[in-house]
Amino acid sequence: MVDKSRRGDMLQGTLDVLVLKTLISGPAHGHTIAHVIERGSEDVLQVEHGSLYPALHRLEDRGLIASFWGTSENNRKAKYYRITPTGRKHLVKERGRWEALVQAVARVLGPPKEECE
Amino acid sequence: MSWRRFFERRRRDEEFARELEAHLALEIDELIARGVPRDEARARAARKLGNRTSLRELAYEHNSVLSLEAFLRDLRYGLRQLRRNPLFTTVAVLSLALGIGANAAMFSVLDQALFRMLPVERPQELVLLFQPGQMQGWTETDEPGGPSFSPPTFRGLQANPGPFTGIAGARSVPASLAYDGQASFGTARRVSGNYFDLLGVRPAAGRLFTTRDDETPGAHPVVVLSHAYWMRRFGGEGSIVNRPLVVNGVAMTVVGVGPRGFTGERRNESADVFVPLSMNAAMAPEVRRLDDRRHHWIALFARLKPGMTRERAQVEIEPSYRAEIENDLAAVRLRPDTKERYAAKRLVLQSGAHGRGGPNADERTQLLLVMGMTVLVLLIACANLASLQLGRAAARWRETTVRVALGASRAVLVRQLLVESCLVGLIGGALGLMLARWTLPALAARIPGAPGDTLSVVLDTRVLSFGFLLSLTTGILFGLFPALQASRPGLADALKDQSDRASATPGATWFRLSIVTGQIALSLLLLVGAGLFTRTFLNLIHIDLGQRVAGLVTFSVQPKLNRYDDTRAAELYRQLRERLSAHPAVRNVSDAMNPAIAGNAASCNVTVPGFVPADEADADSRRNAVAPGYFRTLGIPLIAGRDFTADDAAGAPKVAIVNETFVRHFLGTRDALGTRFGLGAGSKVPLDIEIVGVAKDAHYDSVDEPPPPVFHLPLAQAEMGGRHFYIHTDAPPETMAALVRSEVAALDRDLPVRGFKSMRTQIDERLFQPRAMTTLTMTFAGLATLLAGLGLYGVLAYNVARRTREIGIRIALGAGAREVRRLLGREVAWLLTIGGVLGLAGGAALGRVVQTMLYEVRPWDPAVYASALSVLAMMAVAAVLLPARRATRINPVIALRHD
Repeated sequence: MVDKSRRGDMLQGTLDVLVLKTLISGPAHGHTIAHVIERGSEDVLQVEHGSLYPALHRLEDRGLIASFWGTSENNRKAKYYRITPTGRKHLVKERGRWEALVQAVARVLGPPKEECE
Repeated sequence: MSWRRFFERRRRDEEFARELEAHLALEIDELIARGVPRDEARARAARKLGNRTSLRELAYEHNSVLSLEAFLRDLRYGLRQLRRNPLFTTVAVLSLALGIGANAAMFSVLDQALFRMLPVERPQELVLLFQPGQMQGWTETDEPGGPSFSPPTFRGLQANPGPFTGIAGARSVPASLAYDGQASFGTARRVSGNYFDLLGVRPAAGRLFTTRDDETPGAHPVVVLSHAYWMRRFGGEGSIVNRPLVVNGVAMTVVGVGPRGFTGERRNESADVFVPLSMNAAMAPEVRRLDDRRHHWIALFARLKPGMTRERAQVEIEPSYRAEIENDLAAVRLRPDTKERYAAKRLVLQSGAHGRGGPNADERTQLLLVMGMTVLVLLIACANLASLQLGRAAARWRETTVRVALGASRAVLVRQLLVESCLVGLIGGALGLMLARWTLPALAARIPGAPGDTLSVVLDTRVLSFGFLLSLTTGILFGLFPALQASRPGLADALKDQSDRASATPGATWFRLSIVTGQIALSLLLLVGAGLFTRTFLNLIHIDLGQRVAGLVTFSVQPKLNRYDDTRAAELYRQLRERLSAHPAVRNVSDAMNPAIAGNAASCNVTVPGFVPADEADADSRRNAVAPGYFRTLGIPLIAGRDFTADDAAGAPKVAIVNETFVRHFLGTRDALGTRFGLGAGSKVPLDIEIVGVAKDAHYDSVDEPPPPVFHLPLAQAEMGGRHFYIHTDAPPETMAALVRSEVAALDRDLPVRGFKSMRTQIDERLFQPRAMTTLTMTFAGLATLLAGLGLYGVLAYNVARRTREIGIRIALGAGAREVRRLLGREVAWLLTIGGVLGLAGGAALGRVVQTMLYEVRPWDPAVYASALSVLAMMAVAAVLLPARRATRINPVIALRHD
């Protein structure tokens, strides 16, 4: 059997890490998280807002983040998420894995080359 | 974790909806702040978020344990697969329908015969009273174990019920029931006034008896109808209450109707009407009195006080019972040794939750045995389906691997395959229950120990749920292992296109071989059982009964139920005899008190000069009272002396005709003719009956018991009882039936003819149990062997196909047909040996269980084992024939190019 916590595609895992990273700086609601990710990646990563919520719920089910209802800066009721200690540990681990992967891919691809004509 | 989510999913869904609302509001706020017009902002925010409903559905599904949608998808897919393989589906559904149908029908019978409690209030509180051991006086009973009590003892116990809330009594009597000038035979249960109250049953119409209906003997002409009789005879018409019904010639008033499904506390008979015990004298043609301590005829049951156990009650009721025994001993004079044994009797309580007179130990074993056989056949059928399914999994190998490659998890694959096999199970089950609905009446008529006419042949919720569970179980049973096997493909194998790997993994091969071995063992077990019962049956039908069977018909009339007195009854019998013998097709007519080979026995102690009995039972002889010409009619030769004549009348010297066994037992080598003996035991018995004839031995009441000592008295000199007529005729029984009916009607229009049948039928009825067991075991053994044969064939055919290349090489290297056949034969021999050893061990165990049901067959009868083994061997040869032919015809050139 595949380990459930590690099942799923690469993108989803990536989104998880990005969400955790966003929450390191403090609790936020889904809307903020989506925009922070978009802006943080200089709009390279477009988050479809809908797909964010299943990710948030999954993370909550796994105990990596916790939620509470609060009031937003412009006085609206919103559900806030904050990272749990488990979440922090997970982030560190995933970040390590991610960097290892990036280096590995970079090594395979080699230094940027001039395109030959 | 997921279970908690599952139960919280509604709350979670609502919360998610609010969260999405909040998100939209925040996004709209932000867009407006950036200067987007409100409407535009709303549309853009919604677009960016995506389909909210499908998001919520996704979350909902995430919180589900098993997704309904996925389940429906599996279901649709399963149905499509089944449609695409009509052959497999038909074979599977039909064999399961047969198996499940038989099981459901059998379960219904078993449930009613063994498991279901009486339809009364808190049946587990009921206990039945028995007084086994020494009896005295007259005992009338319809079940073994001393369930009959004298009315005074009953009243004495009722007055001091000790651990019971009450004690009630009952005894059935044949009844002639007449309403509106139409008479029919039925069963009346004489019950004490507290009978219905103690059982806690409520009337369906009118009222039931109270103690006030049972106070003064002969003064309560009231009758309660059973629900079944009410429906059958009066169509459930409520207006019957307060109308008159003539029961055994007494006009009685119908006061009410019992509840639906209640036919008395006796399981193996259904009472049509209930009358108070106080009406006994008017109801019973034979005088069993209400005030005599020597007349034992009432069966008692009691209800335990709340919290009372049967063991404690047995101790606490003992003083009341002891007092009754003392009263008996004071009122009845007994021989000292008899007295001692009588005083040592104890009251025994048995559970009454299931009523009285259920199947006896043998019948119980037979019922369970038949149920076991039905289950075994289903199991064997399941095994074949598992094999088939495994084969299909091989064919679907590529499909499976593609699905795995596309990311289907193993659980999903297993689930999908299981849904498919459960679908087959359920379709088969539904069909099977329909089948059961049709076969139940036939089965109910063939099951020994089933309460015959009291058996309901309707499939109730218990049977339906049993069928449903069985269907699911079989689906899982035959589907699980193949599903587990099929869902374990290695991608590498699939890419190499090893398409037959799925069913050739060591697990799958081992599974198939053990299935076939098991099938062989089980069918051998059933064959041994069938052989034992068949031998028993054959032995029984070949017994020389010592009397005529062909050309003999019998019937009875009971004018006393229609209030004839002795003189009028005797006159009726005489006229009937005369009228019948005047008919040209009739060779001889005679009648007797006790019916021959009908399971009825009458006996009493005799005193024969010069014979010293070892104990009381040793002085016991069966008795009968017969008309002149009885021995001639039944074809029993008289080997000495004379037959009775009309001169052996009531006042004439008392005479008797005894059988050979009587002479051997009581007289030894002494001359029988002229010897005088007396009825009863003790020194004061007058020796006033002279033996005037000796008849050849003939079976008395049963087929399997050897003839006991019997003495026959002339009817005119005997106590009057029922009357059974015998006609020796060349005409077919149907002709005689019409003749008998018209002659009886000519004498008395209101007198019904009871139990007209040929002697052959009467004997067949006695052989009902062994015949039923033979038919059932033969059927099941045959079915099992057939199924096992199919299973064996399947495995062999598959193995030949799989080893085509290997066999091809062998043939190419010079192996002849003989060697190839030997190759297969070796495989079969192994299966047969292992299966055979297991089956023989099982057969030996089975033989021990059924030992008491066998007649002159030892449980390890070598002939039975030899024939079971040879049937199995024939099955194996048949199964191996086709695959072997195919194997020897393999063309090595083609085989080596194969794949």
